[in-house]
Amino acid sequence: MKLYIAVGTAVLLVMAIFIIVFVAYYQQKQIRQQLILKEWQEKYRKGLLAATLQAQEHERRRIAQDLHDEIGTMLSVTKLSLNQLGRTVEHNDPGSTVLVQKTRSLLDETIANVRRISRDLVPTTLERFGLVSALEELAEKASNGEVHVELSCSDKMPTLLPQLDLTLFRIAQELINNAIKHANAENIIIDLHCQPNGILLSVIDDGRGFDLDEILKDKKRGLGLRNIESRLNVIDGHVTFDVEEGRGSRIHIQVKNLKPEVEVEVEAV
Amino acid sequence: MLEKLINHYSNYSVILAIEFVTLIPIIVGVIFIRHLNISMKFLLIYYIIVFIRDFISNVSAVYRINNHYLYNLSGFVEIITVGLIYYKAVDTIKSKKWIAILAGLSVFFGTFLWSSTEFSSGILTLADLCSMGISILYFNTLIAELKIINILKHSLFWVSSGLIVQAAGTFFIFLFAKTVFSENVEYSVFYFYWQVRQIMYIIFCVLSSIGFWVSKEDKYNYT
Ligand SMILES: Nc1ncnc2c1ncn2[C@@H]1O[C@H](COP(=O)(O)OP(=O)(O)OP(=O)(O)O)[C@@H](O)[C@H]1O
Ligand SMILES: [Mg+2]
Repeated sequence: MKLYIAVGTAVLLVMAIFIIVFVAYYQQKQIRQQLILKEWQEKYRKGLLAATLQAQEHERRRIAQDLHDEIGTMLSVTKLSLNQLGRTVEHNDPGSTVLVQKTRSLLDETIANVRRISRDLVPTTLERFGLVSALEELAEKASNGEVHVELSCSDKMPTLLPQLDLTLFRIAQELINNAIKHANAENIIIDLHCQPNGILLSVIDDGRGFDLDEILKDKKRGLGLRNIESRLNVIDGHVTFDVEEGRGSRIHIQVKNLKPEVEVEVEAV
Repeated sequence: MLEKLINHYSNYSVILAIEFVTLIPIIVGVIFIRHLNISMKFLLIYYIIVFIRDFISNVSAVYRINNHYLYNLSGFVEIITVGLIYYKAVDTIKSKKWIAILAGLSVFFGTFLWSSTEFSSGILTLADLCSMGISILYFNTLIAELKIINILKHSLFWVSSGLIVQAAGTFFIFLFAKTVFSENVEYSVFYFYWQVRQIMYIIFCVLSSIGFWVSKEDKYNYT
């Protein structure tokens, strides 16, 4: 009897210990593989997103160049011909001079528009003079009789990677557009601050605000806010919406890691 | 009465030591009580019940009152606590259902094997079977779900290990409890098996204490 019990107990104990060791070993091995796979997938997703954003910038640059170089040139040539035509018409048919003048001013306006659009498509100031100057220019351009856009930023801004500059600039652009388009704001403040552990960009308006939950539920909503999230995803940034219906919105963008893993080259103009 | 108690404790110093072993997981559990999840709180309650049981059992022994029913009763307590611990610990309905079925069936059949005057080999064996079954089920979900980042910092892994070792170590002893713990068996034989049981219990206590110890990591240990 004693022997049976002893042997049985020993066998069961060995089995129990074997099970425990096996579970610990196997679970750890599997989980490590899974974590590696997840990390890899995350990286891949980010890379894909980065590539998409980069392709978008590429395309904008191409359109801007085509607009400027081809249509812009054609328009300039057209203007030259019109001037010649104008001189001929002045001699032969003074009655049509008004029409020529009108066409010339229309042409001038079109040329100015093409230049403006091609400049807006590619943030040249950003690439040449950095984020602060680009935001200054953005604020200046957006300000008019109805809205006043102001930039406040800490004196010493570190030079950021071009990719970060571009992301922050595009996000600021979208947020200001939103504030002008939807909020009916009178004052918009862009606040750019350098923190010990990163960069904080806030866009604050005094408009009518909105209910974030409702907007997020809306399947037909615009792309602006979604694009902000994807852009931040690539550079490991965070967006905080301090918003509510009935009061001005405060949207904060925080980027902690100033050297993101997914590097995207931004070509120089 | 005090004299009797002291006399009893000096005669059964090993048994007394065992009671203080129960205090280890209780103390560690109380120290980390802020970090315990609901499952580990059930385990803490279980140890407190065991401590009270041993105390009553000793007092009964001093007064020569039959205390076997206490051990049979604690078989039920073990089945129910183990059931509750793991019922709360698993996420899927399917696992919950299996745990409920295992514990429910054990309690159900256990009631037929009840005896208030002697060790019920059946109840204790059922409790061991139930512990082993549920522990293995839990191990299976650990492997299948792969949710724990570091298994050595997962409190229920230690508890399950202790539970399965204890149940495996005492299974055959309880299965033949009629012979090994019967009245007419030699004291030395009885004492030997009793000690084996105690050693298994000590292992369970120590592993559970590790479980209580690492419970502070539980929150951050999920993928
Ligand atoms: N500053 C704001 N003040 C008030 N409402 C806002 C503000 N920003 C966003 N919203 C609301 O959130 C909605 C979603 O904004 P989002 O930028 O995603 O899309 P959109 O601006 O409508 O379209 P898109 O940006 O694609 O041109 C807007 O339609 C608007 O109702
Ligand atoms: Mg928008």
